[in-house]
Formats: sequence, structure tokens, C-alpha cells
Amino acid sequence: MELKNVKDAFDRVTKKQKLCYSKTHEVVDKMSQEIDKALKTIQEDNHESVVADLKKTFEEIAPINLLEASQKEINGVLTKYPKALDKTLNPDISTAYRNVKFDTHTVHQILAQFFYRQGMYDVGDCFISETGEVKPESSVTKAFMEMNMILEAMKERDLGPALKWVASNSDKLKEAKSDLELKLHSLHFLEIAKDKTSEEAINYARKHFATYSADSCCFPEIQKLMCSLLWIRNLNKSPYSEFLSPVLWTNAAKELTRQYCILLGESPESPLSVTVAAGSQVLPTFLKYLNVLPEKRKEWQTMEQLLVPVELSEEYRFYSVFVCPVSKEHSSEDNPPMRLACGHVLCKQSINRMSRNGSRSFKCPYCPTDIDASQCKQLYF
Amino acid sequence: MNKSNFIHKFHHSAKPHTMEDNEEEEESPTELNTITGLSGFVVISPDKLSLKYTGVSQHGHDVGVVQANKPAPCKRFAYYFEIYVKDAGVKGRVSIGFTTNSFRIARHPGWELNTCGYHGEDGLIYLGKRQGEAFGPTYTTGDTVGGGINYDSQEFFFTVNGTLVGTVSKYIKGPLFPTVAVHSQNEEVTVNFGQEKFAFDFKGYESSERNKQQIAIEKISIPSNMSLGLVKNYLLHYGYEETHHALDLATNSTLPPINGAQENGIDDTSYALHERKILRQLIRKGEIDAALAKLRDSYPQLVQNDKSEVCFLLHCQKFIELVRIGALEEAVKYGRMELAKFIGLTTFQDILEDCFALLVYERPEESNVGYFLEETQREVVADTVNAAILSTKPKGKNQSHSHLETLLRQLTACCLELRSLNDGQGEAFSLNRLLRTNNWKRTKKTT
Repeated sequence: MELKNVKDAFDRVTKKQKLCYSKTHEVVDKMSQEIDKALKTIQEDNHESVVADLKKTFEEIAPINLLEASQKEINGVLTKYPKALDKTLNPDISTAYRNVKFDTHTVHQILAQFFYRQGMYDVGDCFISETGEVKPESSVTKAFMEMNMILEAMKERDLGPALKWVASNSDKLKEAKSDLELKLHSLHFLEIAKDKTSEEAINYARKHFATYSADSCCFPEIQKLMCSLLWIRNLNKSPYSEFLSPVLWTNAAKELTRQYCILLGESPESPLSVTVAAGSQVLPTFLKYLNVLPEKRKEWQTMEQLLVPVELSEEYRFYSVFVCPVSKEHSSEDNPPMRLACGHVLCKQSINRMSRNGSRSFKCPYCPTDIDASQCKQLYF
Repeated sequence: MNKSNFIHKFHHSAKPHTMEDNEEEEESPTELNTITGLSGFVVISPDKLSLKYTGVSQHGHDVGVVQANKPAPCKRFAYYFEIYVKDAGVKGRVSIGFTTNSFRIARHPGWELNTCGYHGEDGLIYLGKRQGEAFGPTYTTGDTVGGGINYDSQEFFFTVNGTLVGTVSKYIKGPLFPTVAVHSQNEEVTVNFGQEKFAFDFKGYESSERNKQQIAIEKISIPSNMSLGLVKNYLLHYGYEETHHALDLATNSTLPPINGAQENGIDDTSYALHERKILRQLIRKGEIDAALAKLRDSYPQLVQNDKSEVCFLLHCQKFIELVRIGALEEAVKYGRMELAKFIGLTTFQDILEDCFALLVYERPEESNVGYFLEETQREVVADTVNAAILSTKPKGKNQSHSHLETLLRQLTACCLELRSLNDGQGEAFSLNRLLRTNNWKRTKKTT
């Protein structure tokens, strides 16, 4: 959306430039014609008043004024364009910069993990040795190597490694209520039905689908897969053509990555990518805040709580935050949420204020219960 | 011909029992209502089953009254709940009864319109008026008092310490909430919605009330040969020719001849009896190919439309027979040839997907679609073919059901109509329940 303003400003500049060019050309052409006419007159021996006439004609045309007008117009538009650029492509991100002291060790770990996750094991090893960090557990490195190998095989439509891994972790996947195993078996069933006989496909289904058929949410999918045998040569023209969609493979690969990392105890996304993605989401809010309130820039370096709401996507919310209904403040370590005897929750500072630091009972703001501050219990989310 | 009837049977033949056993899945009260209508004169225990009076009882508008969290279930024969008077307090002004949804004021049940209450202080029954009527004994600390609704006779009934006290006509319409009230200092009452054993033999009461109904039914007399006529009509309608013949031989010497009207009925119902018998036998033996061939020979109009219901059910049954004998490859090929054309027809697609799910199981008869392999499925297909043949009768009235089935439908419709006249309260007719009850009675007598 913001780039549209930049494009509009640029279009105005180009339009004015074309107009100025044509006007300038017109003026120059006219002067050239007058000079040619004068030269022709001189050659005809009527040269007494030629120079005076030419000078008079030039004064009438007034080329300097015309050229100045055109230049003025294009200069005006040309001046606005960098302002639009400045407004949109804020070059001074440093206004949102805070001098936070980072733990170098943590930063190094994040970068090393990023390299290993991407499959750049040599780069990761070199980085580790150069920074003097402790090399991560070889089991973790090997696990990521295995995961990348499985994903590469899936891109080649080879489900062997994935099915092998799923079989060895079947119990854990069931515990996590993941449908990854059924997804992979479905894809494999479709490959068998396409490349081999329907008897082999049925035998495969009997071996691997039967355990899921008691599950009421998996059963309709299994029914559709079996009915697709009716059209296995013309599946793209059948009601079940959705089974040929590449999206199924993409979704299966995503689910495998997710479950694989969960079993490892790692995040499906690398910490570096999460940090960059979340940061790029909130940076425009910060820049706007600091531009609108320049006097807040000094406070920016020291404030502990943001004064503007920041909306992160659902996938970047990792823990709950309690907001006190009385004071409207977030809970923190020194101001935790407390459960009253009646079951309602307030923050500790509100309770202290309402009970005069615990010396008096008070009424719950939500219900008629009398509350003794000593009976309030801290809540942990 | 009623098409959806057979399709429904084919798909859900294994399921209806489950539904009936649950008595139509109605919600029941489980605890006291602490969300709405709670007065300041009563406090309720954390388990929401006890209430205690906290006021001082100065007038008639400070009653500590609480309703149940849900209305009494009404699609059954009767409903019942109990209270235990833990402490009758200073004056023993406990009451038990039923109120409607709009009951919101701190008054005893029975004191307001559309409420009913049995009061322990004076033993009177209150029916929406301030003046009570003599009803039963008073009750106090240590007594167990129950209140119930008999939907069949449309009456309230109350018990004290497990003994029926009396009944009163139920004049209130709409859902009824079990209600308890306490009204003097320190009164405390515990409610039993069925989580514990009742002091009153509610099951026995229900059985004895049903027996009264049964006795009234058995006083009705019907002609002696009407039952025989119904059975014969059933056998003829469904093509059981040999059984009908054997029955004729067995009854010819012991019963008077059937009158002329029924003679015409027999002739009318015996249309194409021999062919229907043969087709039923073939289908029940699983020989679908032979059945299809015979249909093409004798009744080509039935299989002319290869997307008809009869063709669909026969092809499905053929597929099922192939799965039964383990010829899976052949089953898939047969499906491609004969069943693929039915995908896209919404009435058939669900059944087709269920049929193909049989391929997934090593032992399909034990799976949740295993009912396709039961004998009852073949009977459903045979019934469909039988009805289709009857529909080809050149003249006369088309009968899609035998007389016996018509009577059962009429009985069910009458019971449903009776229930709607009673404002939707009472149980529906259930043949399965009746058969089980008679079986139980027979077993008991034998023992």
C-alpha cells in the first residue's frame, strides 16, 4: 500500500519531464527556423535591416522565459519525489534502535543453529570453531541432517525415508494426535494405485489404513481413497481429482517438519527466522510512534512497557499475559496476578491499594464477597 | 414406491437399535441452578446439591427457592426426583414441587400460577392458589420426600420415605423444572436427581403403571381369524410361498374358512408370487448374477434404467459378495464397470464409499462397516426387488407395505399423535422395547 504513493510521485515526475522536454524542443526549433530565415535574407543582398529584425523577433519569442517556466514546473515535482521516498522508505531506522546488551553466547548459538538447520554443516562447524563456542550435541546435528535428507527425498516423490521415520516414531505421533502417518500412507497408497495393480493398493490399504478406520474423523478420508480406485486411470476427471494436487505433498512435508522438530524438542522455525519475522512485523509501528511523538525519543531508550499496542500474528504468541481489570496494567514479576477468595483475579498492586497494604478487608469489584488480602493466592499461567 | 425408505434401510440397518436404547437422548437435571433466579435467602453447597436458608423468614416473599439446572425430561413414561430434609429448621417450612421457566420470585412452589408444590409444614398440596388442599402427611427432619410426573396419566405424584402419598392432575403446560424451597432459619435440604439410589421404588412404580395400561389394552378383543389373515398377507407380500403353503395345510383343518373379502385379498397379494420367491431365494444365497439375469428375463423394465435404485442395490450386493469371498481384485474391476456411474448421485455416493471401505479390513465382518456382510443386508436387497416387482402389477392398487406393517405404522402414528396432544410429553411407541419386555416376562415366569 505505501509503495503506491512512491509510484504515483514517480509517475508525476516522468510526466512533467516529458512535457518540459517537448516544450524546450519547440522553443529551440522555432529559434533555429528564424536564424535560417535571416541567413537566407542576407544572401539576397537585402541585408540592411536583417540583424535588427532578427533581434526584434527573438525578443518577441522570449525563449528565456519559456524555458524558465518549464524548468520551474519540473523542479517542483522533482523536489516532492524524494520527500515521498523519505516518508515511505525511512532510511533512519536507528531512531527505533535501543542500546540493548545482548548475550553474545546466545547470539552465536542462534546463528550456528540457523546454519545447521539449512543443511550448511561445514559453515556451521567453521563458525563454531572460529567463535570458540561449544559444538552442539552431535545427535542434534545428525537429526537435522536426517530431516533434511527425508525432505529432499519427498521432493523427489520418494516416501521411503519418511515412512521409515514415521514407523519408528508411531507411538509418539499418536500421542501428539498427529495425522502425519495417515497423510504419508495416503500419498503412498495413491502412488501404488497409479504405478502398480489395484490388488497391491488394496493390500497396502489393509495393512496401514485399518488401524485408523475406527477413528471417526479419519474414516471419511479412507472411504474417499478407496473409492478413487474406481478411476485410478482417469483420476483427474473424477470427483476425487483433489488427490492429484501437489498441495497434499507440501502439507505433508510441513507437517513432517513440525512433528520432527517437536519430537526433537526444537522449534519448527529457527530462532533467527522467528526473530526477523516478528521484528519486521512490529518495526513499522515503532517508526510511526517515534515520528509522531519525537519528544518520546529520550524515553524510548529507558521505557519498560510500550505505550502503543503491538499486534503480533498468532504464531508469534508464546505465552499468556494477564491485564488487571482495575489498574489496566500488565502483570509482571513484581506485580503478579492474584486469585481472590471468590475466584476473581486482580493484580497484586491493586489488591494492596484496595486493602491498604493488607490491613483492611475490601469488596471484590465483580461480586459482593468480602475479601481478606491474606487469603489471596498468586496465579501461574 | 417410497425410494428413500430402502436406501435408508440399506445404509443404516445396524444403527437404529442404538438410538432407541438411549430413550431419545434427552437431557436430565443433574444439579441445582446457581446461574439465574437465585435469591439472596439461600446458599447452595459447592456440589450444587444442597441448599440452606440464610434469611430470617419474616413474610411470604422471602422464600429460599431453587430450581434444577434443566427441565424434567418429557419424552418418557415418567420422571422422578427426591430430597432429603437434613434440617427442618425453626418452623419446618420445606416444600417440593415443579415450576415453569418463568418462575423467578421468592415464593413457595404451588403458591403462584403454573406451579405445583407439596409442603412439609402442613402436608397440603398447592396448585397455583394460596389455599392448599389436603394431600398427605407432613414431613420434617430426617424424611425423604420425592416428586414425580407421570406423563402417561398426566399427573404429578409425591412420595414420603419411599411410600406413594398421592397424585394430582398435571394442569401445567410446557417444560417443568424440579423445584425445592426452604423457608425458616437453618433449614437445610439435599437433592437427589438420580445420582444416588431413590428411597422410592421408581422402577416398580413405572412397571405397575405400564401394567395398568397393558391390562386395558388386553381387554380389547379382535376377531379370532384376523391375526391369521395378517400373517398370511405378510407371507404373500414378501414372497414366502412355501411357508404360506405349509401354513395353509396346518390351519386348514382347525380354523373356519376365510371369508370372501380375504379371498380376494389373497388373490390380489399373490401377484407374481412364484417369481418373487425365486428371486428372494437367489438373493439370500448371494447369487446376484442369477438374480440379475432372471430380472432381465422376467421384468426387463426394472433393469432398463441402469441408474435405478434396484440396479444400484444389486450391484452393491454383488460387490459385497465378492469382498466376502476375498476376491478383491475382481471386486474393484466390477466396481469400475458397474458402480462408477453412481458416484455423483448424492443419494448413492455415501453408500458407495461405505461399501468400498470394506476393502481396508483384513476381517471386514468385524469392522464398523461390517453390517454390509450380515444376512440382514441381503434381506433388504430382496425386499427392494420384491417391492419393485409388485410395482409392476398391471392393475389394482399398489401396496408397498404388508397389512402387518401398515398396522404397526398406524400404531406408531397414533402414539405420536397422543404425545403431541399431551404437549409433547410421554414416550413414543417402541416395538423393540415391547419385544424385550415380553421376553423378560417370559423368562421370569419360567424361573
